[in-house]
Amino acid sequence: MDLAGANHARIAHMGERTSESQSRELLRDDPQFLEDCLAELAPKVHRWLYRQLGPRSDLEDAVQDALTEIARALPRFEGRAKLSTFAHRIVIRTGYRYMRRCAEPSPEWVEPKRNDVSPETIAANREALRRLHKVLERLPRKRRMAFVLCAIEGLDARAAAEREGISAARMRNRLRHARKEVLRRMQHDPFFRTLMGLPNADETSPDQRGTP
Amino acid sequence: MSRDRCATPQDRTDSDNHMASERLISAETQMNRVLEALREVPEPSLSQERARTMAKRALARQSKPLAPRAMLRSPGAAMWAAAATVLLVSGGGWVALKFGASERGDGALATKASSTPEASVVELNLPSGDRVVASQGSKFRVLDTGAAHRRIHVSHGSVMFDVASVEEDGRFSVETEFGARVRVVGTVFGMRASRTGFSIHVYEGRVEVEHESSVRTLGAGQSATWGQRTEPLDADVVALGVRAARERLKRAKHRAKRTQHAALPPSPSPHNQETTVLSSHKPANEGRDLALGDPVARRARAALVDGRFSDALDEAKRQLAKHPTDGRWTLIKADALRGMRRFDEAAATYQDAVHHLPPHRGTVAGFAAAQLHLHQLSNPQAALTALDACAEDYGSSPLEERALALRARILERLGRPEAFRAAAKTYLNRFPRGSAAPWMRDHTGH
Repeated sequence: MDLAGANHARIAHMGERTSESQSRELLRDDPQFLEDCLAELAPKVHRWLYRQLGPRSDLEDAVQDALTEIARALPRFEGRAKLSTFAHRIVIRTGYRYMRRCAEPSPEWVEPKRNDVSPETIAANREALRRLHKVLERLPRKRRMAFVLCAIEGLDARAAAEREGISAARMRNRLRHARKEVLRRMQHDPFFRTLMGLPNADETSPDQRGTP
Repeated sequence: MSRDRCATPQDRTDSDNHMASERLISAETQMNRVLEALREVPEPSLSQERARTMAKRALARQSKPLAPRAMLRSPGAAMWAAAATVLLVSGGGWVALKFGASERGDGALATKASSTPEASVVELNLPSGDRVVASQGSKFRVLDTGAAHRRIHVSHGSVMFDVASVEEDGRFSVETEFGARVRVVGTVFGMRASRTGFSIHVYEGRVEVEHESSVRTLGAGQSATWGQRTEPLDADVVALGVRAARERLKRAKHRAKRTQHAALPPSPSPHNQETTVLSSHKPANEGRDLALGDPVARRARAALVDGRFSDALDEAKRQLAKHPTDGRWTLIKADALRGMRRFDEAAATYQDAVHHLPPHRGTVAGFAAAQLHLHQLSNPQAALTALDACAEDYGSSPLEERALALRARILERLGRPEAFRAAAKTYLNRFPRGSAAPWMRDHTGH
């Protein structure tokens, strides 16, 4: 196994009991290993921040900032959590900072062509994502983060709370409020109403409108 | 008997509630379905080359020391001002500062003391004029920064507070994880807190520490520890207070030769002070407070803190009838008058107290008189006179920055542009990052 392969294996197990002490030493002493760690983490960091912030012009700046913070913190990584969990916490902090900043939406990303999905579906998905990020932008930051972590990343409330450094009950509370608000906004969006199979306002019959 | 009956209003309400909840569940399910579908949508990703480039760049940046500004980044910190040491918090908001190694992922706030010695201490100026100096590894929250009520929670670490004057009916309080609460009326003190105990050292002024229903007052130069003995205050944090205290001591000795009315001995250096370790319940060195040595004075001070100003004033008058030149009682009388909003009498009493107090306390009285003249009595000329009465003692005192700022404001109010510019220049040279520096620059056009 070459050096890069060995490092890859070590990084994959980082934070698990197998090789943590060795890995921690390497993080402190071996710049190449540190660089490999960061290169491994970069795509994940990009994905996390894309979900938190949506498509925006300074997304790569956010990724670079987060990686720099992770690079600063890695030599002190004690292996009590998985490396990705450790990095995710830092990314959440970075995400909060960038949520406060105004940014231009980035040029639309065109996904690679897929034979199994029709162009109409791709276009609809793209539009749905764009609208979902619009909805999320209007949420308070903490609720938005709770929604991203739990409803989009798929973490359970306990794991999300642990990453945020709050109690699970508080995370559940934020998530409940966030879901309620997202649902309300989606129900007011004709596009989402169609996706959710709800009749649009102009399609509802007079007796369904609840006129007095 | 037929089971059929007409639907009551209660039945209709239950039915409506049931339908509403069903609709909500259905909508939630639909939303989950949409989100599920969106999760499958491919997302933009980084190429390996790009990831490698970013990793290299992160490593290159990592070796650069963190500027204090970067260390202040936190979920609630974006509104904080641009200057590296200036921290602005909106009322009611909070911010957590955490420096040093952390497994909780606070990497944005982390720094290494070995590589960034200049960042081992961070100095923050709150909008209320309070200065907070925190050492590496400290964690505290600013809970409230209103003009009247300022509240800070210290979780652990060494933190020094230089508290601006507190308004009438206002307070500045510091809480700790250990459950102790420190109340301040304008002072400089340092503290180290942890879950199991906390220690405090007062450099100037006076604080009241409340813990488990016992209240202890600490004066200048005194230290005390509650609970388990904590590590000594961080050297970098202490250095600021010690330096000021030594210079004050030198000036106090110089002044004592000239002043025959000095009622109190000068504040000793914190290094020479006895540190008293107290049990978690009862303070052990009651009665040794330099500032409030006797129980009568303590009761009067307590009355002031409780808002019973007339009681404190009566007691002060009684004591001053016996000892007319006792600076402590003059100060208590002035505080009581100020509490009763008798500002003109309070200002005159503060000015009187200047002559009966040692320099390090006299500056506090002179400053308070000047503030009252300027802000409450709208008499800038009298404010200038009060401030200049002990001008030479402000140098290297913790009040120096505020005194210089106040002097500039007074001169600006008096419409003396040349003198104002000179005062502003002195301030900016001495405290280029002081809390009043932006105002000075605005008004002088620098």
